[in-house]
Amino acid sequence: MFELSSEVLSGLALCVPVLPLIAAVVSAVLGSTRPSLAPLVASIGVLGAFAASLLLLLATAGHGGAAHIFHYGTWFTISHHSIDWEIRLDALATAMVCMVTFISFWIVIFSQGYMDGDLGSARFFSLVSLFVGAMAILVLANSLVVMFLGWEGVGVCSYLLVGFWFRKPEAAAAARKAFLVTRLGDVALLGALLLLACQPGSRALTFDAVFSAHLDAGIVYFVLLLLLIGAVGKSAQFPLHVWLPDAMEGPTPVSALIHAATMVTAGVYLLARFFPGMTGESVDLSRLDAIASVQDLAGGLGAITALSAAIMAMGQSDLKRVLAYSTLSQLGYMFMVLGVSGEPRGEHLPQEVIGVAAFASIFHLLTHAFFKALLFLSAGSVMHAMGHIIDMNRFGGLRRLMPITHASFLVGALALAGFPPLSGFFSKDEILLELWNGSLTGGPRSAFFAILFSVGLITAGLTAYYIFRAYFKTFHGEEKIPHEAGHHAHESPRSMTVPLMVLAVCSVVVGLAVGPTGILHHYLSHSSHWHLHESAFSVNIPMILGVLAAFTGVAVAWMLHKAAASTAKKRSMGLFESLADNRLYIDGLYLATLVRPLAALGSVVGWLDRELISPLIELGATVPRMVGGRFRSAQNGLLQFYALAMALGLIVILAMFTVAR
Amino acid sequence: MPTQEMLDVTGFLGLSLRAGPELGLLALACLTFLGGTFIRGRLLWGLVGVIGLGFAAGFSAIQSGPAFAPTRDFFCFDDVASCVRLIVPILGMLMLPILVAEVDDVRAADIVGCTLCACAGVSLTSMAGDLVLLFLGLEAVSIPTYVMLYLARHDRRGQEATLKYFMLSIFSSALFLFGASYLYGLTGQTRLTSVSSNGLSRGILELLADPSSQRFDMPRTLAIALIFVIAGLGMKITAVPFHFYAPDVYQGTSPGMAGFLSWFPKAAGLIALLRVLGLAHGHGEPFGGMDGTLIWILAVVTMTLGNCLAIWQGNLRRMLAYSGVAQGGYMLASLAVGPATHQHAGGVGPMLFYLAAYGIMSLGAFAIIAYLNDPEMPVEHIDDLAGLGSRAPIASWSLAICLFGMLGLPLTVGFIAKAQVLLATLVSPMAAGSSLIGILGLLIVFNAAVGAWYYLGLVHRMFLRRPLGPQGKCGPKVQLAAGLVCAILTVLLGIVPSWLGWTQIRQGGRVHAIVPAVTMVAKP
Repeated sequence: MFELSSEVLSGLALCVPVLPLIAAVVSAVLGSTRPSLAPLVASIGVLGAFAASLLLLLATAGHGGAAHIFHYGTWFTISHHSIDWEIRLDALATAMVCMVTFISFWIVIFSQGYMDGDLGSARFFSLVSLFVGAMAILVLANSLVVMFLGWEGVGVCSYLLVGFWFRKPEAAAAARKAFLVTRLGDVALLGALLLLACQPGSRALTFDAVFSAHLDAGIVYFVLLLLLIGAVGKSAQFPLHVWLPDAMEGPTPVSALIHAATMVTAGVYLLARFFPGMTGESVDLSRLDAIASVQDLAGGLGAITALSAAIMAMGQSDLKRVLAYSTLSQLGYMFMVLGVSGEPRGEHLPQEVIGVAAFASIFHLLTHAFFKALLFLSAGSVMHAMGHIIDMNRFGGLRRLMPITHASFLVGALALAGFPPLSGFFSKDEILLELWNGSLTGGPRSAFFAILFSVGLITAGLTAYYIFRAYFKTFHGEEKIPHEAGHHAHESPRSMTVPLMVLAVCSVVVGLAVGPTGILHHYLSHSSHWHLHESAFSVNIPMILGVLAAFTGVAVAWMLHKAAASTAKKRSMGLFESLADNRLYIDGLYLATLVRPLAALGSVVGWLDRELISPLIELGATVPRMVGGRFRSAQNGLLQFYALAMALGLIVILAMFTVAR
Repeated sequence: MPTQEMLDVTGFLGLSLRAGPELGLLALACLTFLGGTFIRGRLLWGLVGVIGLGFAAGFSAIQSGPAFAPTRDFFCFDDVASCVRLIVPILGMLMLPILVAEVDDVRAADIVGCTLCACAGVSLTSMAGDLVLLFLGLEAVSIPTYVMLYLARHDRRGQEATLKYFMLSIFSSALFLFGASYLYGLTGQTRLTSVSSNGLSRGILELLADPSSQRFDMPRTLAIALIFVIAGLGMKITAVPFHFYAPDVYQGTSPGMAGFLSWFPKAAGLIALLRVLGLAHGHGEPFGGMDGTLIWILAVVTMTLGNCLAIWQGNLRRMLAYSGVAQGGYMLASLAVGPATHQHAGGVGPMLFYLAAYGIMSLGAFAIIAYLNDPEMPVEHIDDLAGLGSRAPIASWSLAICLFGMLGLPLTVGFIAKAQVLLATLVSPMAAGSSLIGILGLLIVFNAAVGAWYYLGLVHRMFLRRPLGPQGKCGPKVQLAAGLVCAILTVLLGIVPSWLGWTQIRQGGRVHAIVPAVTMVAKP
């Protein structure tokens, strides 16, 4: 749109991570004396970061091409690896930080109303700013080591925020679980970095250097596999998904932050960078093969997560848990499409196919961030009004009581279900289209993609069902208010409804504005290593199927809701009614097929842990104590003995070096 | 600004200009001792000391510039010296306020004078190209320390600590002199190294490194010389088994004085070791590889026992004493890597960086403990720190940052320091030849993990425990300020370690930046 000199760009780019970090420090320092200023400081910091990233977006929108790399200094040098403080600004990173800072800003604003009166809210705002800063570092870093720093920072912040109410034992346990499970992934990511660093001839651990390095296909495979494990941990995919539903124990704005803007998006972002990047410039079949085998795994794990999480979401009575499982399921979509590997298709190069798939996942990531933040904040608004009760059986019919929350939740639900022309529709369609195209190639993997496509389609239907089930239960039917609500049972204050309205508008327009118009496609085609070809928007079969699935889901949800409402009066049980009343069928199914086997596995692992691992660890922990304990008695406080001990030590050394020779 | 020509005057004038910071500090110390008998006042003498050290730092900084060619003779003006001569006055400036705040007006001048002497002593040690000067420098650290121990605390426990330190220090000096006399006997020289161009006058190290020399006939005599010298220095470095005094003395003296002991004598000992073994010069192998093996053993035993014993300690200063023993072990490990070669930057640069980093973190920790120490209700046991986080947030955060640094968490200077030592051991050319050095790296990692136990235990007590009893008052704010500065430096230098990289080590004809270290392999 307009030109900015390189120095200005570099300064702006630096502002994006630095301003939230400064805000974090300032609000932490202010916290003890003037806690009321902390929200203001945090919102200024995050808003500043958003302004800077918006300027960057506008300034780089017109002319893309090569990524800008801004150098600010050297952190340290290890043998011949120089780890630099550098920002790598390309279209993908810019789009990501714009989304992250924008949504975070509105979450901060929302939190001012939500956290009002909570002791330690200065700590909360400080941590949220730190979270945003760490995420910005993760997205913008040029060096993989600095990226890892942001990655770990995000993990630590999520630990501290999920466990924000650390006096609640569930919150503390959930925080620990989140931290430990994601650590598993982090170790794998670290392994990938070490593997890359050990490669002969690797001079720098930056994205560009890694992508252009001449790596063995086997190395490419292992690096990507480790990266995938890291991403699976961070983005809560099967089998490392268990932390995310528990992470609900944190304050609701934190859930919105973790589920929409930061944290879980990191894994998808990483893979969307690496899968296309690792293909290299020329077509190297063995390398493509290595990438494709990791992609299969990503797609398979995504499909398992998408479907199983959607099934789990159907049985929940806790509104936030429905949304949590829905996040898992939607992230599963993104992983599924990342699994589309580059079999040569028509006139397109394999690189282009992988690039388009990565584009589809990032597009869904961006739109999902808006409507998921909206849904979580709406749920938070409900929770705020209901006196922190979140069980959908305890309240209902809130649409008259809370009109703004109702409207925004409805918009979010429609977007999530993928109704045209809301944002979720376009991005989900893009994913289904890619899977559909993949299944039509007739290559060896087309059957696999056909399965992925049908999983996507079924999940689309289930998604529409569970979100509208939650919507009907919460906002329709008889008005029910739990007694804990007290005098809170009214629409939330302005500071909470304004973010809802803003995000609702965004959820409606963002997809339409950037999807079919091709703006996002055109902009992101400037990201390096993405070889996007121009494509025009058109109505296609997967789209129609997707919309049909969504309509079916909503219709079923509505019918079940009606039926459930009438059973309450008539007590006659039909098929749908019993299904609706007995979510237990699904819970039971899930219990029998997943929970019980997993619990059995868990008890085996637990036994191993108790009987084998713990003694080993304890042995490791006792040895230093034992060694120390042995030598403690020598420290008897007597001067003569100390001199004697010195002399004896000297004699022993002398004996070693003179007599032995 | 004085130029090379001005200072290249040989003879007394040139030398006294070149050694100006040290001579100036000694002169200022004399002035302070004398003046203190007439004028009393903590503020006055504290300021005099800080300003004097500031001038010394500035003058050393000018001399470390490129205009001054390195020389090696009786005085060695090389890169090790210029690095140490900058670190010492700066840490002295942080040390002085902590110490002065602990004594009353009557003793202030004396403790300032002693500190100045000790700073000059460490600097002189770093410049020593001769055994005589080396011993002089070491004693210029030791003798003021005896006085300071008595000045800082003079109850019964303080007296006991002073006596212990005095006796064992004298014992170790005797060991050093015994070893030095053997070196003299072997070579007929007290000059360690000499760069005279005609090659006629050669120092001890050149003579020993020369294959045609007589040392191969007398390996046992050489071993005795080497072992006694190292044993004599081992007490200052608190290398096991010469560490016994440390916990008792740290516990028996004041917190600020314990901070002094944790760095200044240790720095003098390590730098003296560097000089005697010729690691700063990159000679061949004057001691036939014996020195590397011996230091390897000392490093392993020192860091392992230091960490294992620290776990058991309930007394705060005893724990930090053992932590200091372990940290000394890491620095010895760095020296075990050996001198720089054409391919490899060696362990000297990482050791000096570690020394500076440890000084900042250790002084910061002891400054905060001194600040928290109330004479009525002393902070002795580690549980006395419980609940500190809410009572004194700035102090407890500063202490926590310093502890994180000593533990080696990323984004602190301690991380960079430990990473350098670790990499020096892993990338060393000797690692290929013998696996000993590689094993050393693994042992460092293991020890760092053991260290986490007690460092994090302190942090845990500060932030996650409730106070156990009534809380004492906090001390003078100047100690808090010193601790805060150290904590800020710990983080700042962890992010931008290159700021510590003003000096460079020229070795083997190549330039290796000390930091960012860190250039492990010289660029082709």
